[in-house]
Amino acid sequence: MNIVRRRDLVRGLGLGAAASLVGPFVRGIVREARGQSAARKNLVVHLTGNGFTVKRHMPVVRSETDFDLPPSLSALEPWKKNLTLITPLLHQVSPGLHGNGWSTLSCVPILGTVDSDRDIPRPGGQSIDRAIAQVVGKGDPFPSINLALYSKTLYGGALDIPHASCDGPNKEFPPDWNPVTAFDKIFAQPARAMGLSAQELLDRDRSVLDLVRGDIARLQPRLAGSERAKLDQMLDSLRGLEMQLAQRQKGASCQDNQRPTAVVKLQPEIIPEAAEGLVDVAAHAIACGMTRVVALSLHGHGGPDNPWPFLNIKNPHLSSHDGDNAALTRLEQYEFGRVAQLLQRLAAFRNGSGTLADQTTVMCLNAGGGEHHNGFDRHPVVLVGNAGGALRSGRAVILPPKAYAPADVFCAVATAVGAPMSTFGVPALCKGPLPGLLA
Amino acid sequence: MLIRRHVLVACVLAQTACVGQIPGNAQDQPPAPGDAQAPGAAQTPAATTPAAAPPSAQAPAANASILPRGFGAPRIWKLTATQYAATTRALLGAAGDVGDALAGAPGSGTEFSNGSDGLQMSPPQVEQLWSLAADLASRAARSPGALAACLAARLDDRACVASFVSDFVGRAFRRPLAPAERDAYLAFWDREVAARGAAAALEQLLRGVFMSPHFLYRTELGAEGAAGARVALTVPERAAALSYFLSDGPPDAELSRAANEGRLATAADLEAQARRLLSAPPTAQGLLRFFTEHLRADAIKTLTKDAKAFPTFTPQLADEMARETSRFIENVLWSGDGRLGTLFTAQFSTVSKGLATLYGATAPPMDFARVALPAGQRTGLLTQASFLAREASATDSDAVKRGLFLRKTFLCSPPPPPPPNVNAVPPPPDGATTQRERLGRHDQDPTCAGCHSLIDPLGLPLEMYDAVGRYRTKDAGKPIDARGAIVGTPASDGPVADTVELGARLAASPDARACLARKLFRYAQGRTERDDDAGWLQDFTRAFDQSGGDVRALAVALTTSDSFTTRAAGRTP
Repeated sequence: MNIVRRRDLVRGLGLGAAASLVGPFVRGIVREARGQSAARKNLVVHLTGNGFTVKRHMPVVRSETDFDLPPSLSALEPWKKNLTLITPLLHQVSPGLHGNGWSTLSCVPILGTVDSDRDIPRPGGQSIDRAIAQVVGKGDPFPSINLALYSKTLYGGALDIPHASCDGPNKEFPPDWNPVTAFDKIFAQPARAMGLSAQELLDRDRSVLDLVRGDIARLQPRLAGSERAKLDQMLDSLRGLEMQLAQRQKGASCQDNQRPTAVVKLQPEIIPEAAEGLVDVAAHAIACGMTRVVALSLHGHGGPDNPWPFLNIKNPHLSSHDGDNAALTRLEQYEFGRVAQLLQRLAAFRNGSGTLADQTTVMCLNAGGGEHHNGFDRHPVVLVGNAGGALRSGRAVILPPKAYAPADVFCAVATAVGAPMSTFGVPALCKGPLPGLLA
Repeated sequence: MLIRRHVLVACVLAQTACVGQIPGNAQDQPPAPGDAQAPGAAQTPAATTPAAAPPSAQAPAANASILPRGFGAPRIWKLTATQYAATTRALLGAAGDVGDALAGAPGSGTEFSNGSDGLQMSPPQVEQLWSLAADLASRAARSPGALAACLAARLDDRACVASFVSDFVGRAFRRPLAPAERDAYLAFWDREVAARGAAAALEQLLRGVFMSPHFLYRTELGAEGAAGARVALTVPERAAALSYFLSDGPPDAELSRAANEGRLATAADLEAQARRLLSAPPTAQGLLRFFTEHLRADAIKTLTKDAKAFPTFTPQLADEMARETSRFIENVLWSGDGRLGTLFTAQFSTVSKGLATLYGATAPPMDFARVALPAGQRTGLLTQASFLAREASATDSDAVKRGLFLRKTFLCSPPPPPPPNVNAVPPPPDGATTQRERLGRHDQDPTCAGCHSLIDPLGLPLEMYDAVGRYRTKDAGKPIDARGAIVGTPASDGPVADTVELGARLAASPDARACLARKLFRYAQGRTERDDDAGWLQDFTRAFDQSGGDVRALAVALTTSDSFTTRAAGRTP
């Protein structure tokens, strides 16, 4: 059975004060969490898909601060006072059809076209999670991490990967879909396994890196333009890798023997295990101070014809086309339930007078829409958390139609979490931080 | 009406852009000096290139001299996941088996997994390769004697190490090492031995090799310091280009020997090696991969169907559907005539017992043996379940999906995407109307009709097959009308009575041959064609035509062309 031993991974998490009783892994995390500055602000960008409709997403609003959450968001009820629901937003760079693709988080047009047999869409710019990570995550082992359940491993086609995180034109930042490998990447401690100190291991790694950089240096003068850029990208990636390797000790101190032991072969039947495993990895990474920016997506933005059997959904994509709101509500309730799961995990870690959940803002938005998944001019964004008071929360903000864009919300959120931003994406389509959102 | 006119114009533009004709007035203009050339004028000898062949009926001779023939840019080309795996296996044997460690690696983001520009070295990809290099090095270093016989006795024998570096690292880099490179690796060895001992030094060196850009990328740069507007690939670069295209792996022993002995200098040399590699499936895995990716055959493995309606559609059967297609192509290419036409018209296939039941055929004596299919019901790739079941919904056939796939894949003539704010999903089955009746709405809606008149007639003959590819005669209780047509092509238009006739029409279609030549060019070169590739494409199509549509002959033509072995200095991709 290819089942994630998620329960091993999460043992003790979510037990609140009892967590310190259950094992060295959790004790390690709690220690790290306590060691964090209370001013540290974390951001999780959570992406759903398959479009959105007024029926599913609109709250019942009596006043800005007196509103009922729509059924899709019912799992977030405990966090309602820290929640801000903003709608409708106009995503003017939507490329059409089955989703906003790389434009969702980058707010610039994609490169290439959708639904072509020869010109697959590619990122046109940097996504907001990576832009924020570049500023606030500089000193972290991982400036940001990208966890997305759906990948080509399950669906076989490039179009089915959640097109979310990217570092610039043509530079995708691909997700990890397997909780086990994501865990290993973030918390691996090969030094101990090899009987070496972390410093000895780092010395070995650096020696190899120097050899590789020497080869790159000999090859690079022979290349020009985009060919040279390929090696530039490799050098950049090696630099990032070296930084991660140097910080490895920090990850090692956060885990013991609780690594999930089985390899996931992603099948529809184990979606819940894998999805919940990814959420737990995200919680651990934040709790251990391995990163403060996470992109999280539990299904693609369109296209896949695969079922979610445990929710009795045959095909989320067609459910969207067919207007099967009951099915999509079940799906979204599950997805926002994962947001609740994440916040519950983080709430288990006290930090100063609060918990890690208090320091974390989750920005939820939909990657669908395009031009025929129920419109691209009615995007809702849901913020859970207020970035330590930097955002005005507990509100349903109903905007004038087509007046503001997701990029305006991004600017405000970026500013609130420590990466001040006056514009994002296409400057002409961004008005700056959404008025009234920053405290 | 305005919308319809725009859609029609777009459809026409899309077609003309993809059927081997040159956009704009390129046909009327000579190639730009220094940017393109007449056939046979490259630096590399090309006595037997297809360009020299007489023109075909579909490609008038008058065009041959004026269509441009440009060259791609010098480049580095990252190994794909399968090429990486084949390369480490070739270098390390069993210790080089990477399993599915690269299964989640980012693809090229292009039509084929080997699209050169899309293969990245993003941070996650480098992390993955870093881990894999460490794993491979650790495994390989446990058996030094398997790397070089002399290392088995003494790891501190520097002469042995020097020989190992020249040989092993050279094979990993697919070329002889330059003296400076060899010195750099030996200096690294010395430092590592001093710091950590010989055993660790060997592992460290292997890690470095597997992370080196010279291993992870193959080069198409020509000789260092070569001058001139055009750059001929070096002999090792030619060997690698040939083997990674045709075999999806590094040069085998015979190809390496030919390269070392100077037997890869001419087009005739390349042709001999290409024919050898294409003579059997084990050394032609690249051509098979082309078809697998081109036909998206493996995608069926991850699909599911409505369990109540199709209880026999299991993951095992889905896997067998994918295998049928690859085994069928193998059978036609290496046990049959190798012709594209046969791929469209074969009344046989290579099926499992489960698929034989699905098709109503006699069960084969062993899985994937060749069997005859029920007469009049099946016609090559068009009626294989890997296609029919994939291009369908979980519960029903889908004539639009199927028609669209045929148009894009076999005619290179994709219509533009639906206009904004159109619900592109056909009405669901209602049990009372046939799919043909439901799609009839496209004719009545001008925003749909422009493109659907190109798509639906291709898909409707396939209504004789349900959502898992079973033959049927009724839809919603009514007899199926399987008539259809090929519409909007330069040379293949015409009505068809059913799928078998559609297969025959595609088999005879010059557009289908030109399309396959175009697609295989993209795969062979790892890039999309440009306007100045028009002359080459015409050459390849002509060679393909003249061979009677033999796919292997097309592959040979691609490898012996100057476009395969020459790059334009100073050009950027």
